[in-house]
Amino acid sequence: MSSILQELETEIAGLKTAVTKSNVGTVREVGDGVAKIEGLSDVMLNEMIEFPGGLYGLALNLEETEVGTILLGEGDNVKEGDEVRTTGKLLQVPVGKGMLGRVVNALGEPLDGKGEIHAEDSYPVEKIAPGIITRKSVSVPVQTGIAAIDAMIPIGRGQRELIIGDRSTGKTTIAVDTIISQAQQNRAAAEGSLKDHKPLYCIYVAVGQKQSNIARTVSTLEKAGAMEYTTVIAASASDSATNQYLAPYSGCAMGEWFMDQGDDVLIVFDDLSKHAVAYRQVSLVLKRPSGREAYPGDVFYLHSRLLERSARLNEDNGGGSMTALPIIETQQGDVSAYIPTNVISITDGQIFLETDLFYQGIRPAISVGLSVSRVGSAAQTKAIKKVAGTLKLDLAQFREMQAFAQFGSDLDEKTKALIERGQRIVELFKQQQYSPLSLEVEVAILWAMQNGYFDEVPVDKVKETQKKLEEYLTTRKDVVLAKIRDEKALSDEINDELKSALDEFQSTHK
Amino acid sequence: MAKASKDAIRTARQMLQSCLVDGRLDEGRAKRWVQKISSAKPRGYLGILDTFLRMLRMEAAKHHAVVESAAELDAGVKETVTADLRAKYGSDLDAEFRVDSELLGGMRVRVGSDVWDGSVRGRLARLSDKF
Repeated sequence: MSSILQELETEIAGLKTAVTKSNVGTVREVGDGVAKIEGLSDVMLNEMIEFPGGLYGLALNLEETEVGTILLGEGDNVKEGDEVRTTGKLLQVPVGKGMLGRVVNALGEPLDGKGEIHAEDSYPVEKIAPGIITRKSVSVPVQTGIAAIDAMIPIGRGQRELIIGDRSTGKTTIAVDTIISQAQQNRAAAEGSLKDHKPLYCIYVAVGQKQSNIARTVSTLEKAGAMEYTTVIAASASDSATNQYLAPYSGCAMGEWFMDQGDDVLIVFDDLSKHAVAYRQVSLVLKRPSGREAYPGDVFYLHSRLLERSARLNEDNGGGSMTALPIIETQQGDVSAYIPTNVISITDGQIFLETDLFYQGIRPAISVGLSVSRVGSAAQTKAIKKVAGTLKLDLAQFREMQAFAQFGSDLDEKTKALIERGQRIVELFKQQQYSPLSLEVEVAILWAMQNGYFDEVPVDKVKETQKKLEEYLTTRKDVVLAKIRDEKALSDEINDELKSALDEFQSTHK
Repeated sequence: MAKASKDAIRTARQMLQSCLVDGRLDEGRAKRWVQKISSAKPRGYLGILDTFLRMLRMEAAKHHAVVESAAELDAGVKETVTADLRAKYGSDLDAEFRVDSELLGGMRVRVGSDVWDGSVRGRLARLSDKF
């Protein structure tokens, strides 16, 4: 009790003598979530401005006679002539493990009705990305649980991999599957069944989406038990453009805290096309000069400064990492539009999803030819690297040959074999949504494919056989799977065991 | 209010610059500018005049102090406050004294964008912010 009294006394004593100097201004114009303010001679860029009634704004335009601020809330009560003052602070959001399992808005305030958030710290929303000295090259994989991605377009911890495609081609599904897969691995590691696994926390930033979609994603994550390791930042279509513009940066700040603690984190920006549109709206209302497609001149910097904050830090700096999965929605498959080309050039590769493939039933509808990961096999475990080998090339050759094969049936044996193999690989890579595979199952399935165990199976039975094989391996050969899981490589011993297991499977499941 | 174009803002800024003599506003020059623009009516003259007026108001505010107190101050205190403010902001500063009972006690001084708040209301607000 006495310590509280002492504390209060010091606080009050400090106030008794202090005459504070503040810098004030007067609201000249307000509307569309933007206020123009006269005065504020000492204001700094991106400084928080306090409005009457506890509302805050962010100073974005510093002009000769006025300051353009965006309002971080409902500006209905702001009137012309209101006195506002600078705070000397940058916009900050709460960060920490207390954010996990929560759904928050762009300012980090809870939206899920689960009560107050106990944040460990607060981080500035805008921060300069880690420099060259503090970084390390990407080498640890993010096991997405999607076989096609893990085998052909591997993503590493600290990488930025763009997910791009038309509307409803399964972009969000890939991101959600990845989050679910991380939760499964984190849980397995916590239970002790997954060795040497560093937990990967997840942040899902929803920008400009329908509230119903966000609610659906949250419930999917909850059902899969992934919310425990995930924070959802929601700036829906009904939120102001300001909040939609700030949400990805807030998410990034929350992710940076994990990275600074030496932890690994995955952040999904769903999606940056809508983020660019929100920023265009803010910029136009602020009367900034517009450029191509009415986007402001700094729309590239908008995304580059955001995605540059993803990094893998070296051991001297904690060894944490932040992996980014930005999502971009294209119109009619046009990847050469303004925002898609910008983000493609910023990221370290892209997963391109095609509408045609989606409707052919190839889901995830990944276009192997256009998808690439610039980090490549550096971010693959030895086991996956060995079984994935030439898969991408095989599939690319298959697609080419498939087009030729349509013109005639006289094909040489080699081409026929290539097409047969290609068709089976395509079937194998089809995967149900929200059911990511574990590393050991992926490796075993791909090993079976590479070693010709699917060659005799009719194409339309591949999926069924794969399911049976998975069941057989997980129930009866879990020792081999455990070895793959622990060693993460294919030793001769594992190869032999896999061979005998698959021979047995083949003889019993004919 | 007429919408000021970039040209109007530039013209108004040049007009203001020409009205400043040693950093102080020459009222005569400002009046002459307004008369000249009103009679010549150049393109976008309303915008020019509006912007010029706004700039003049902001310039004048830099040399005008508004001193608010909870109760009427006696002449001695007023003189001391004015002298102190002039020492800080220049000898051409003029002080306006107002009574605002909502301050509860103490004084609040505004010069341009700077506010020196020593009022009881301000202290209470800061105290509530702290907790």
